[in-house]
Amino acid sequence: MSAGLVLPPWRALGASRRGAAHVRSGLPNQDALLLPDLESDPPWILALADGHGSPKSFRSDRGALLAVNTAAAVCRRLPCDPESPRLSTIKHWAEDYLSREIVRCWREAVDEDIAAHPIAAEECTQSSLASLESGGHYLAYGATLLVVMVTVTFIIYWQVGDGDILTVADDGVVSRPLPPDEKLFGNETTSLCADRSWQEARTAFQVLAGAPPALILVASDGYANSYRDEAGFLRVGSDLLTLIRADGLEAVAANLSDWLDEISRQGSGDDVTLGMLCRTTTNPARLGQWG
Amino acid sequence: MNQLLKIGMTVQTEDSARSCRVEQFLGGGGQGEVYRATLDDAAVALKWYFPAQATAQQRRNLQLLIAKGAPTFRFLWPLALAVAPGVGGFGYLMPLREPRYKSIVDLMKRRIEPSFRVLATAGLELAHSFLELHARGLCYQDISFGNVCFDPANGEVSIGDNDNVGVDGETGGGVLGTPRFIAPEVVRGEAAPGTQTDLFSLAVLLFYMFMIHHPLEGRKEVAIRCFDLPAMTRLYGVEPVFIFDPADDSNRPAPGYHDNALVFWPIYPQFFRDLFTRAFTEGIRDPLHGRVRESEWRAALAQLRDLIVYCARCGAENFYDTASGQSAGACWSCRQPLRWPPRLHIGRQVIMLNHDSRLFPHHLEQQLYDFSNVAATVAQHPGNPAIWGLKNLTGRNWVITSGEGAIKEVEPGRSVTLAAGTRINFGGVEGDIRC
Repeated sequence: MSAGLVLPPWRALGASRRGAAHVRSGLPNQDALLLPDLESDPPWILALADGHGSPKSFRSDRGALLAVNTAAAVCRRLPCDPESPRLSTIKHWAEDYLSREIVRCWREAVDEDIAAHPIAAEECTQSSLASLESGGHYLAYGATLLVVMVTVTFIIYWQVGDGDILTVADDGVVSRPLPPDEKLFGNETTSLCADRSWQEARTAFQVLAGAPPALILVASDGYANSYRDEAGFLRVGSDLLTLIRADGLEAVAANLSDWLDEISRQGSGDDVTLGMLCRTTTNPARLGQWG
Repeated sequence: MNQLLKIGMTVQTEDSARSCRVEQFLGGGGQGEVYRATLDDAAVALKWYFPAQATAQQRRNLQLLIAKGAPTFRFLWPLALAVAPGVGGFGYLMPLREPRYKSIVDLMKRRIEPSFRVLATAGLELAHSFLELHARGLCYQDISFGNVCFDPANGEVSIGDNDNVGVDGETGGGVLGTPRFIAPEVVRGEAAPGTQTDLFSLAVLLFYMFMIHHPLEGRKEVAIRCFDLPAMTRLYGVEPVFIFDPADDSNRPAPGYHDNALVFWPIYPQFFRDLFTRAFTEGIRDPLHGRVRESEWRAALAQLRDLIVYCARCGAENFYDTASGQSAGACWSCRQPLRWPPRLHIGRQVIMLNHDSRLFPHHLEQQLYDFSNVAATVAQHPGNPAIWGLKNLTGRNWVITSGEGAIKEVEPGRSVTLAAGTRINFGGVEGDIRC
């Protein structure tokens, strides 16, 4: 690294693995993960989508891919001058518009995908075909979506449906930045494809000051479902931070896919996807100096 | 997620150096973080500013607001500046919002489903609160969903984020919040926030509460492919068109996108819709003279409360529309025919006499709105449930004149039968019952 070249204050890593049960049944990996390009200007967007995978959601792997790409495109439309962001404006934007825009743009992307690749009868069951004709084509692409949008001054956390976003503080304390969704019960989840799904989305806005998170994790529900209890799953956050600090990010990245395969095999059998943003500076003031 | 203060630490009030213990992180915003704290064993809220927001100007503004005091107890008003040894910047203490209050975001997301009566009461309280604020020469600058809460059981409001309140005519011109609630002339950069622009924001907020939708988001919004700052500036600032503008149908609500507006708009009486139409047509064209005043909203919302009737079939609240005459029409919810209950006319006021209707001092005298002080209530005859009356809960006799001309006094605690043609002299004012 040449002198004077400033690194972005975050590093990203992640992996998405086809679940053990999906391998057995021949289903594809229906999760999608988008890691941020940290060489580009902020915002940096980490997005994870989990396609429903049921017979009625027979294109949910594509729905998940469209979801992460849509989220990234919408998040880049920050309504502010990047030189002088007005934080109240961004907070309101995140709370008022982000959900509607992500859902609207995802639906447009689905419409375009269907126009480009019309649904063939052999793709789905007879009952699914009937529901498509009555306007249920978004269900065919149904997916949940988790987004973390990071800039030098703030983070936005956004989620519709199941899956987990965790933050880990420098001292290893793990938190959930988003409030719990009471509509998640058993295997039932809210979804991008549901009517008025933008109203089901949860949003949190965090200004970077004082003690920003050392590590941010996004995980598909296959990850948490592989743990017996909440405490065991939350410990993943502090354990990963300890590992990254002890062995380095590269070592964690090198082993991540194997770990996820093992977690799926021993646990839920579902696709398992994990994305991470790890802060590389302990000085919050440096966060505002990048770029 | 808290970053600025540690739980368990102590901050001091700047004026009296009283100790205040930080108990719990409640949330973060664009300016700082809010904590629950205890001051002399009482629970309070403590907002602590991010370093970049802890400016000398913010401190001066808070000192001014603390010195002036709250316009009404509905404002969670700054009580004292707070500082902490070893921690940079400052914060301020304010009353803690009770958990019974819910935000308008909860209304939008259908996490609460208040009655129309509650919404009208909340709207009335909001209009009254901002009237009191403006009467002190102050302006709020940032009226939006996020800073107004109400109790879905009774409509009592709680207004937060008051640290941005400024002196009218002395605001900096900076735009707070999103363009969505801001007056078009401020969005365009032609005016600074002030009491006139607050009136626009208040109208937007009221429209949102009653229609669960934004007054400028119609087909023009659907046509926007990229909802970025230029698009928002165009929609809310440069080309604002009311979705129900009678002279311009270019921005009507789009079915499938704006269904709330399409469903709710026809439910309300014409006079109420007219007020919104004025707010978002003349009020946009002529910010100085065209806007609906707080007192007009207050009177309209009081009237709206009084016009509620219940569908006998499904119980849904409907509105008697004085503009539609005797035709009751159909219930908006179950589509079954409605029947009007008896109604009381007092001057320009019309009060529908439902089984639960009540009269308050503002109905009978030139007094301000006080819903804790009931002057009369509709009551059922104890011996004959088919007979309904209006029970005198004031401290003085009413004089009634029956349709046949018979005069009688109704003492406190006694009732007058709800019969068409009966006139009631309440003391200062007179009303008549119509069926």
